[in-house]
Amino acid sequence: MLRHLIIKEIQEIITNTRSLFVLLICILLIPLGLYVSSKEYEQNRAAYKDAKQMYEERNKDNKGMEFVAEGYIPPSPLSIFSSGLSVYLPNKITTDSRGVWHEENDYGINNPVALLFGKIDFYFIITIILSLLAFMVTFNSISGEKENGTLRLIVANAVPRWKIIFAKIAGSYTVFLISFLVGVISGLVLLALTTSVPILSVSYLIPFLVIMMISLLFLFILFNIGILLSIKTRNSGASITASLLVWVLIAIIIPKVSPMIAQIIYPIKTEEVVNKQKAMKRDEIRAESDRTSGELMKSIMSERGMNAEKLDFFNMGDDPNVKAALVEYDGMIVDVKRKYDEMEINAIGIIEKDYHNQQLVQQNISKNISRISPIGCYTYLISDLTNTGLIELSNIEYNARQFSSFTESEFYSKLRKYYKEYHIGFNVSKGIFGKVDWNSIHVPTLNTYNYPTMISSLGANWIDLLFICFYSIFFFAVSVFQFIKYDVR
Amino acid sequence: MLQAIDLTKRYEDQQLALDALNLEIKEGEIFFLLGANGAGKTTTINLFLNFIEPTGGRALINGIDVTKEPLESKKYVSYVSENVMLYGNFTARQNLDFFAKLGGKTNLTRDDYYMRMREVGLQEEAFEKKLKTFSKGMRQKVGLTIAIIKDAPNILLDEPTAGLDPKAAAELLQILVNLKRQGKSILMCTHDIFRAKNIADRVGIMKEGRLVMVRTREEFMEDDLEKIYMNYMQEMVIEKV
Ligand SMILES: Nc1ncnc2c1ncn2[C@@H]1O[C@H](COP(=O)(O)OP(=O)(O)OP(=O)(O)O)[C@@H](O)[C@H]1O
Ligand SMILES: [Mg+2]
Repeated sequence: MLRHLIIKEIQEIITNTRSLFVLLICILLIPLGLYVSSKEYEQNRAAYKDAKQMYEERNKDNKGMEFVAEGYIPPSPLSIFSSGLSVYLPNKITTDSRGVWHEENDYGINNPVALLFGKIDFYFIITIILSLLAFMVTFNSISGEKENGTLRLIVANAVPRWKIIFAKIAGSYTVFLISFLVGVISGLVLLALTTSVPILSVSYLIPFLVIMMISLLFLFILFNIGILLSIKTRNSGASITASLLVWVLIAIIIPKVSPMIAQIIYPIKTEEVVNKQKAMKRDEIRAESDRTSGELMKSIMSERGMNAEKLDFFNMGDDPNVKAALVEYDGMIVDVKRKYDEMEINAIGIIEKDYHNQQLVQQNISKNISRISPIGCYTYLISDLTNTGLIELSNIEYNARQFSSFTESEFYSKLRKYYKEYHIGFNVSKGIFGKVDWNSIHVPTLNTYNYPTMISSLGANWIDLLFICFYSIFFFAVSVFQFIKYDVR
Repeated sequence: MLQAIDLTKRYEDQQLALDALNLEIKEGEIFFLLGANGAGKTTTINLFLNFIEPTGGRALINGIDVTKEPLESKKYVSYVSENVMLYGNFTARQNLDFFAKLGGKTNLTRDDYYMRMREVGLQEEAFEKKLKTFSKGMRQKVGLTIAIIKDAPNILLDEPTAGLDPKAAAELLQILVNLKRQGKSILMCTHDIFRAKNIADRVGIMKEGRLVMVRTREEFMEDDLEKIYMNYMQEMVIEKV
């Protein structure tokens, strides 16, 4: 009985032009989206390699404390499925001898028009296009049969209601799934044939399978919502109106409004204001540092019987006394400066951390609100699985810190050691560079950028995974339950 | 056998659509239910099919209470609904095939379907045509074929002749007579008094949810059925004036 119902459902759907449309969209858009994203990834990957190589060549002999080390971030291979924040994510980390690091983005924009309209990537196709198509396929699945009078005829037979609704969901979802899978498989084949992306390797296939599983669940949720709306509306006209409204709500309004609501509930300063605060603090500490170094100079001079204030710095000549004082000053000022640098870094770090914490609170509020929509949950999961999501923001920071300390230990601290030796114990017989083994100091490069593993991304988003599973079961159960007491007249 | 015992339906908006209906339709009997629009005919059929829950009384199909054992009771009843669209993208045969299987007839062949469609007077060339190209009457015939194929001992028809041309309507009634001869209990709701006169074994007139009159064939053949019907309707008009 269930079999006959499912077969009829599938037959009915495939004889409908709508399913042809779905198939066409899947076959055209999914491969196109994957192809364009892969080409873009290849470009970014090449640009990354070039930039890194150029940096290494250009700075081969640039071994001074003023040198700013640059670490280039490779584009995430999985970004071909979802570009997420990648346009805004930094592609470069810089770090200097004070241990201050920055994230920079100098990707540039290839085609601003593409940015204006948003990209068609796999993620977009699922969350916007297929979600809408899911509603388009299901909107009259129940209300249409009611209008045709066929529902009454079915129910006039000894068929349990749950079988009818099971068959509805199973049949329509199966047909949709087949179109979707055909699109995905042709996309993968296209990538394998025309791009250098190793799409069929384990490193791609396993995360992709996980993404597919989540996507299928996500589409299942939308199917059940569509069928529920079809049950809850009197005729197919009302169904399509309701479906469109709900779609706008879950695909556009909830995701876009949730950060706004979060800003109202928990307002935080803008980045600009925070930058001003940081600048003020920096100036304050630097002024203090200048004052201290002035005092130091004064005391060194007065120890040697000179008055720093009356000294004519432009006409000191070759006074050995002055020279000796300057050498002594140079030797001591390094530590003083270092102390103030540390102070500055700490003070700025506190401001940043504070701001960062506030940002996180706001971010979590927006996240929680947007989780009302399955698209919210899906977005967090997919963007983090493809390393283009919110986790990546803190992951870059983690990598930057790693790079900064690596640079410090492998480059600046070595240099510093030599400089110190040079200042304190200048030895004519050995010469300035006598002890310096320049070849042991390499220009620091970021050779391994760590993206979070799939398991840790899933773990970090367990709540969204849970929500997706919950929504699947919930809307399925509600649809079945609502249909059991449905008025077929 | 179809039985209604004090069968009552009051809708959520307090509209009393059916008021303690008592009715029994035996094997081999055709019962015509007449009544003005909104009298409660469709409500009666919907109660027998358990599409709606009665607010009082019971409906029995072959002695099975339809609210207690809805699935079991539906094995013994066929239903011809008014103005059914069926599946527009399926051919007549595909429509029949689906509903035949739902009704438990899983081993019918293409020729069986053709034979049944010929019986109700569908043209050969329509058998494999999509239903969306069918006229209302042609759809109605397919709907009737669905009921016939199920071959249940009880048949409920809600205005099946609406939209049929006179010849087709006459053919339909002839089919009902044949079914009756096979021992089926038939309840037909209609506005068609003339047909009722021709083939009904008993006729009931329903007014404002109540079965106000039942006459056997012998009884209504003596009188003019149309006159009786009008009298009952008239009363209502007079009452209201
Ligand atoms: N879902 C409903 N809710 C409230 N009242 C209803 C509902 N369905 C029917 N009714 C009322 O019940 C009464 C009987 O309706 P029913 O459809 O049984 O009439 P009918 O005899 O089949 O009429 P017709 O000849 O027009 O088909 C009518 O007054 C109608 O307004
Ligand atoms: Mg009616």
